[in-house]
Parts: sequence; structure tokens; C-alpha cells
Amino acid sequence: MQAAKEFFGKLNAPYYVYAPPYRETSGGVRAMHYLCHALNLLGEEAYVITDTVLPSLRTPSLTAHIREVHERAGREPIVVYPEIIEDNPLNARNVVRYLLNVPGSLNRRKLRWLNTDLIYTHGKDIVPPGIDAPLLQTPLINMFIYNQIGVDEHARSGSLVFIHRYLAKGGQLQSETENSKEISYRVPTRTPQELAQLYQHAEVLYTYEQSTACYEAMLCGCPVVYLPNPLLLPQPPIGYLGRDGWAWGNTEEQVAFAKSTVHKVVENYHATQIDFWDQLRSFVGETQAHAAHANRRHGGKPLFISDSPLSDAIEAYNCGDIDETTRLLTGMLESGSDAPLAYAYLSFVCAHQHLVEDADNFIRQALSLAPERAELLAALGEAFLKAGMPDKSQSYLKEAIQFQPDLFAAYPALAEAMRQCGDSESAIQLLSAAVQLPTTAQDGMFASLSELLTVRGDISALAELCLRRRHDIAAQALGINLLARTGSSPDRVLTELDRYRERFLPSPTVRRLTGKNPQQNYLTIAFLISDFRRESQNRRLESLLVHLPGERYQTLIIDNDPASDNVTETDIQRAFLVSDHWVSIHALDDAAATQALAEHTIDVLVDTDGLAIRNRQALFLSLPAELKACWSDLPIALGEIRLIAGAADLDAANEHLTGSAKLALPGIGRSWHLPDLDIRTNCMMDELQFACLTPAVRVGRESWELFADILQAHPGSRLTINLGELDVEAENFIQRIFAARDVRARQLSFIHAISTEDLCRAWNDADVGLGPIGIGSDNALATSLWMNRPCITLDSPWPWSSGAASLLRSVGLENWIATSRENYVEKALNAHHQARPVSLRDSLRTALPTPQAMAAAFDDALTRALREMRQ
Amino acid sequence: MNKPKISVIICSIDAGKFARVSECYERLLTNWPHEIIGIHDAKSLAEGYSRGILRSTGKILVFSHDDILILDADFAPKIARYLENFDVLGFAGASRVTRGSWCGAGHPYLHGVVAHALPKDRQITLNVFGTPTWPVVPGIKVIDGLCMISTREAAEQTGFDATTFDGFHLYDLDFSFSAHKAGFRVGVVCDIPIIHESAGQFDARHKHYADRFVAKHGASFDQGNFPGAMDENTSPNVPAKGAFLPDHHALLAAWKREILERTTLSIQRRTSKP
Repeated sequence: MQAAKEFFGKLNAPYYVYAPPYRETSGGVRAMHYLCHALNLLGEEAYVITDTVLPSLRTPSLTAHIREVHERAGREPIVVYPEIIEDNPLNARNVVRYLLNVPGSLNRRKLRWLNTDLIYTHGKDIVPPGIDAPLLQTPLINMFIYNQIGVDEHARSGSLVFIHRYLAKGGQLQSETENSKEISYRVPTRTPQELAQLYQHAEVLYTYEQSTACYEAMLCGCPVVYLPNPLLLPQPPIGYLGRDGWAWGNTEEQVAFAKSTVHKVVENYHATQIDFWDQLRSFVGETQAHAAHANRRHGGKPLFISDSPLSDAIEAYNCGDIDETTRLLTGMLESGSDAPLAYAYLSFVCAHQHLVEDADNFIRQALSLAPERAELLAALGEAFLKAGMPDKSQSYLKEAIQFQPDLFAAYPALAEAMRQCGDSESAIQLLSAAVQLPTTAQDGMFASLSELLTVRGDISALAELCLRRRHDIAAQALGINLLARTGSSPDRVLTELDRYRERFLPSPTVRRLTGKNPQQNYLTIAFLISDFRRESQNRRLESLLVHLPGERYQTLIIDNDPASDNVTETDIQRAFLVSDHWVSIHALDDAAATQALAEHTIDVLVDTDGLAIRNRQALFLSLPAELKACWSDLPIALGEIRLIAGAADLDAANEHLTGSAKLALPGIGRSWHLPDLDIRTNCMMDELQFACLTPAVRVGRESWELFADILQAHPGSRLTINLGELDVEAENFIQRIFAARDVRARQLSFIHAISTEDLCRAWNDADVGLGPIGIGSDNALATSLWMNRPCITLDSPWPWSSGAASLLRSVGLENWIATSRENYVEKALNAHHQARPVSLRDSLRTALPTPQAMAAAFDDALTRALREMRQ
Repeated sequence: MNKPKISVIICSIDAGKFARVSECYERLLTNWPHEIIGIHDAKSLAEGYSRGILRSTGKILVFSHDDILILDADFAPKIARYLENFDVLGFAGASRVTRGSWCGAGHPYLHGVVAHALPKDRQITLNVFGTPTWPVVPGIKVIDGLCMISTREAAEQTGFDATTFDGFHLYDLDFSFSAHKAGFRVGVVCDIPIIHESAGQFDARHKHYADRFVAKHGASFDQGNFPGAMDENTSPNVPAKGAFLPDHHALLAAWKREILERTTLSIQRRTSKP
């Protein structure tokens, strides 16, 4: 479940950023303004103390009125000072010192900071010894200005020089910079665009001191030469963009190093941008906690307001301090307060302590003072829900909604309370009706309803729910995916695919000229990946990364999988090892991702996601590449886009995909890691034990109804159903479908098989597998064959559902492929008469392509395709 | 198969580590003639290993740190077989010597594979320096001392210089480079998974012994401008490629010839971009 916002909670402390008037020429000034901007983007409330701001940033100026509002609300600010401020001019109690340079290095004044001040730093190298300062590396450089787009690296000429404080400190210029164009502040100020143009055309930037200008130059592809000097560069700078792109001294070797590595700086900068948001979240968490603690330490009294026990009580409640909340609120009531919120919060406290009657008394008093406030009832319902009393929660939430039917923010909580009371059906009905209304709470209701449908495994209903959200690109993708998976009519799937393409996707960009570096005789093949675990399961990515001929291909991984943040995700780590280049884009929007990939000339771009969750189809289509291919069961855009699949699948799908060129892989074009477990031989009797081991979350209602028809026609048979990670709610939901078709409960059994080993063991207890409608070749089918169990499947010519039949054909089980639903039932009923397969394991071993064969076939198909295109 | 006796010489002042590494070797050398010699009062690693050589009786000598773990049941037959064509073997090293650290040579002169599992780290780091040939890279000049394997002849003739290297640094480079200069064939083994529970310390002490190494061997250093060579003052990152793995099962699954060879190619591409 998504965590609900604290609807009635206290707001965070605002931030007052002690920023000087904005000017482009100072990295430090920019850092303060961008910090304020970023805090606001993150949902905090932040202000700068100057009126001179950059209009394109969200940096509202602090006014006397705003301060007064904060004071009245008891919201004591957190003041962020740059390190040049040696004292506390705003006389704030919550102070953050932000180091953008070594403290005291610019003005040499004595610092008068307090031990309670929090210190953050832009770089570890500027933190004085003995101080612990977490990193907060606010991005300083606008990559929409400072970039290498369209730059001809071979046409660079001339040099630039940066001198700012060096001469003032008595430094002497060196001869190598005599003819360089000066870009520092002694010359007339240039706009950022003018500076970027200089960096984009210069061969090198010399500098006598560290400056943000150095990073701007490197991001424009201009290497930087630091000229060591005892005044300002006594030792190499620990730049926050790493060791790439700069030379320490003007030696031939160092300059060559800088030139050969400057292209990496963009990637380094993107990495810091990604890190920054995590750092900023930590910053907010720590500074807010620090402020709250300071506030409590001072008796809950903010510095600049005289008395606000209600605010304190609310804050104490939100911090889980029930005793303090009770003390403050009872104090208020004893002193004659008639604030309805005081009574309401006391009722929440009682709910927390399971004091049902007292809670009711207090909420009634609150309502008697504020009879129009139905949200107080709803909040009490939420309090009971949190306290583990869903029945009580339900009654207050229902009362609130009866009183105010448009209190939609309370619907998800009521649905959750109903679910916890065992009435998921009503919960789903409630949200299904409400989610169609255009309200601001629609997103929350959609999330709750999706969760409810997922928990019960009702993916058919989930598909329809998603498809109704026409504006929501992610929901549309999920809906189409589920639609295909649940065996919906191909026409419907294709219509939705067309609609999706028209509404959300650009036309594909194909780069016609090769533009290769003449020294480079290999192709760059990029794989866009959003799910490394899936790739590991079907073994296709690693097969290519390892076995594509290294002399002909270099590989680039475009990593769109948030799991790659987990540094020990084995599949990802292995892919990292064997790939040549790696660009992470999962935290970047399409524009930033395009920028991050700008340095790579991609010849072949392979999308592995189709319409899977987290797909980046728009990016895939817009990135330039000579050949694009889709390696997914659910390809979104054909035509110019090649379709990669096993030859077996392509044979079946050919007539329906005539518009697309193909890249055929051997067999079914994928493989599995299958364990060496013993096969138990069962005697197939009349009372057949069927099994559907595809996880229930991937099986649509139509499949359950088909299976029910089989069990109903064959009352002696039984069916094992794999709930996977779902629980009893899914079991109840599925049982109801079977019961509605007169199947007895004892004919069903439920298991939870997750791993490949689990599935193999479960097949040992079954006679025949039942493949769901709409499912391609999955782990469940592969393991059934591996354990020598035949599996019935419905034939399909569509790429998203043809895999199962292809796999059966490849192991000689054509007799188990049904041509229609009726034929499916017939085959199941006659299963015990069918000739039993002898050794499916051996057939499967032969049918599954080796990694070497996959790579060889891929290479071959690609070579032919490119040759054809170039001719 | 002929089974030459293996003497494992371990300098250790940590009884727990010594017990653990000894147990590892006992398991690896079951059914193979061997002895484990513990030196627990070494003044320096060179001094300790020198004493170890004198006490040992094996034909093959293994000079081992006490914080390593070797994960290959075929350790003994493999090293016996490789020592038919080599005299000294290590797990990581360089085929060029330009300064007082083996990793300063840069790619493509760095070779070998080592995993690191630092105390309290939740992951094992697999560091690939390069496996241009398999299973042993020939033409090596210096090797890292985490585990050095030598024929008795090479060890006795080369010896450890306990006078110059009277601490805990650079004894390994001195030993291997001296062996190389004496005409012994030095190689780096790639197909024996090994975990080292510490990383090198490149501190002032290291610098002190690096200077001694340069003073002793500087005249024999490789000359010229090597493309991957690093400036030790400014380049803390060794040109290797690494992966963080959750456990030794994942490590063994990654320690495969085809994976390591492809990784080597990717390092080459990364460090020599046109």
C-alpha cells in the first residue's frame, strides 16, 4: 500500500536559505539558490532572503509577511547559511552551515558557529579536520547550456585561461597561457551561452585555481589543465566529478590523459545528480528531525511564538509521543479551551490506546464544536485503522462518508478497513465506483484499487481499470500488458497498442549514416534494460554480452532498472562486468537520458521491454540508431523496428507481422537455468492431477473459467494452483470462480512456488500441466517439460502468446497444443489416453539454444540486416 | 600423477586468522603431501618468509597471507601442473615495472583476478585486472604478495631481501622482480578463485619502501611512455573492473573464463578509447 500523506499532520519546518543576490558568475551563489529550488521541488517550503533571484527557479523571496505567517503557525524555520557567514545574523535556533569552500578561506574571519549547528558540505576536501559533514552536492551546472551537443571534437582549436584570485594574490602568469583567451571575471562578463560556446570550441582550458568554470568546460568536452602553484593550487584538487577530464600540470602525458577521459565527465555529473536527490532527502530528514528535537528540548515552544500547545500536541502526536500529546491536550481543556482539534486529537490518542468509548466521546465533543468537519471522523477512522481495529475504523469512515460523500480522500482508508475485515468485494465495489469520478483523490483511489485487485490476483479487472486511465501512460502500458496476458481478443490488444502509440509515442528516429570513427571498426550495440532479473531468467542478455564477437561489437547497457541501485544485485553486476559501457537512466527523464547518451554513437539499439512496466518506449523511439530492434513479446512499434524472437515464434507469427522485418534466434530464442532434480514417475490414472503453476497473478479470469469447465466435466480430477506470492485473498477469489461453475473445493489445492526449484518439485506431484490462455513460454512451462510433464496450451499466432505453443512444438508435443478452447477441454479430458512423453528433459536440452548459438545467430541475423539496409 | 610436496608458509600474529587460513589449506591439500609452517614472530614478511624457506621441505612453496581464502578444490593439482612451465606464480601482477607498485603499470600491463571481502563489508568485490591468456598469464615481472607460489629452486635462489625490506611492504615486488631478473618464469594464475580480506595500504610506509624498491631496481625499470601508466600521486583508481557480489556462490558463478575474458576486453576498451 502506498503510504498516505499525513492529511492532518503538522507541516515541516520551512527553510530560509541565506543566499546572496543571484549572479551567474559565482558557483557558490548559484549553489545556494539551486539548493532552495531543489528543496521546493522536493515538496519542502524554502525561501531565499534576497529579492534578486533567477526567475526560472522556484526560489521565492522571504518576506516579512511570510515570516509572520510562519510565526503564527508555530513553524520555526531552519536557516541555511553558506560557510562565509561566520555568525548567525537571523538569530535562528535551527542552523545549518553549508560549506561551499573551506570555512574562513575567503574572509579569514573567526567563525562563531555553535556545536548545535548542523554542517553539510559540497565537497569532502573543504571540510576542516575534526568536523563531520555529510555531502550535499547541489548540481551547479545547467546541462542544457553546458553540453557537447553538436560539437565537432576534431575541430577544436586554441586555449582558454581562467585567472580570478591568482594575480591578486601575487601570482605570475606562465608562458603557456600567454596566447590563451581569458574567461575569468577580469574581462567583460559573458553570458553562460557565450561561455559554453567558447568551451565547445577550445582545445584546452588552463587554470591557476579551482573554479566551477572548470566543470563547465569539461562538460562541454574541453579538458582542463590545472597549473600547479603554491598560492591557489598547491596540490591536485579533489574535484567532485572525479579524476577524469583534467591534467595536473601541462605535461604531454597529463594532457593526453585529460583529453582521453574528458568524455566521461558527463556520466560522472549525471551520477552526482542522481546522488544529490538522495543526499537532499537525507538533509531534509536530518534537519527536520534536528529542528523537532530542538523544539522539544525547549519545552515544545518555538523560539518566536509565545504559546501554541495545540501545535505542540499535534507535533507530539505525529512523533508518536502519546504521553506528551495527552499532557498538552488535557492541559488545554483544563484551561477552558474549546478548540475542536484538541478534542479530536484526544480521540485519536484514545483510538491509539484502544479506548473505544472515550474516543467516541471526544470525537462527539469535537463535532459538537465543529459540526461541519466530517474529516475529523475520517481521521479517527484512520487512527483506528493504524491501531489495528479495522471494524471500528470502518464505522467512523463510513459515517464520515455518509455525512460528506465527496470526502474522497477517506475512501482508500475505508476500502482498506473493509479489506482487513474480510470484505474485499465491498472495498473493490466502493473504489470502483468512486475512482471514475474526476476528483483530486483519484490517484490515491486508483492506487488502492490496483493494490486490492493485485492482492486477489484479479488481473482481468486490473487491466480494465488501468485502461480506463487514458491520460496515464504507465497505467496504459500495464493495462495493455495485462490485456494480452489474459487472453483478450487480439483485435482489442492491437487497438489499444495503436491508441497507445498514437497518444504517447513519437515517430521512430533512425540514423541513416554510420558516422563511425574510422579507427573504430566495430559496431556499438546498445541494450535498453528495465528488468535485469527477467533478463537473467531467460539468459538472453548475458549470452549476447559474453559471446557476441568482441572484435565486431562493443556493447552499451542503458540501465533503466532501479534495482541497479542495489550494488549486490548479481545479475546486474555480471552484466556490468562484461559490457563495455554503462549509462544509468532510471532516475533521468527522457531529455536528460538523451543527453547522458549523447557521447555514444549507437549503431544498433535493442529494446528489451516492449510495454513492460518501466518501459522507455518514447526514449527508445527517439534515440538515433542505424537499426532498432524490439526483443519483447509485446512489441509496440513495428515497421522500422525489427522484431527479435526465436525462429519458432517467428514462424508462427509471420502472417500477422508482415509489416516488420525479423531477427531470428535459434529455437525459441531463450533459455532457462534448470536445476538437476530427480523426476518422479507417476501413473496417470483416470483421476488426473492437473496443475497450473504459472503464478496466479499472471492468470486471467478466462483461464480459471476454462480450467473450471475441465474439472466440472471430470469430477474425479484435481487441480493444483500456484498462488506464488499471493495469499488467502487470492485463494478465496479463485475458489469463488470455480464454485460458480460447480467445482467442489476439494478438487482444488493451492501452493506457493516461487523459485525454479519450487516449480520443479511441484511438477513431481502433478500429471499434466494446464497452460493459461495468453501466456507465452514461461518458467512454469519450461519446468513442466524439464520434469517430464506434458502441458496443454492454446495455440496462438500472436507474439505475446505464441511462445508456449512454440516451445511444445520444439520438444515434439504438438498433440498437446489446443486449437480452440473446446479443443483445450477435450485434450484435458482425454489426457490419460494420450501417449506419455518418454524423455522431455532430453528434448528440452536439445531445443534450448546455447549461449554461443544465441550469440552466433544474433550476429548473423544482424549482419545480414545491416547489409540489406546499407544496400 | 606425481604429487610434489607443498609447503605453505604463513606469517601471522593473529591466532584466529592463522587457524582459519590453515584450515583452508588443510582442506585444499587433503590427499596431497604438504606441511603448513606458521611464523608468528616475524620482524618483517621478508624475514619471516626467509625463515620459512629454511624450515620447509616441500618442492613447492606457498607464501601466503593469513587473510585469504582460496575457493578451488583443484588448487594443488593446478599449481603443480602450472609450475611445470613457470617458476613463480601469483594471483595479480604486472608485466611492466615503472614504479614502486605493481598496479601503477596500468592497463594492458596489469593481469589477474582477485576478490576482496573487507571486514564488515556486506559484499565481496571481484576485481578483474585482466586475463589475456588462460589459465596463466606469462611474462609477468612483479606480483602481489597476497599469495605467491614458487618452486623451491626459484625461492632459494632468489630469496627475500629482509635487509632492504624490513617492514611489510614491497617484499613481494622485490621477490618477484628479482626472480624475473634472474631468469625465472613468473606468471599470474587466473583460474583459481581467491578472496583477500584486506586491500592494500598505500600510505607513507608504503611510499618509504617504494622508494627503496626504486633505489634497488630503478635501473631495470621499463622505460618509455606507457599508455595506461598512472601517476601514483593523482590516480588512486587502479584500471580494473569490479563487481559487487552478495556471496561466494555468486563469486564462483562469475569467476568463469568467458566472463573474465570479456571483462578484460571491456577494460581495454575503457582505458584505450580512441
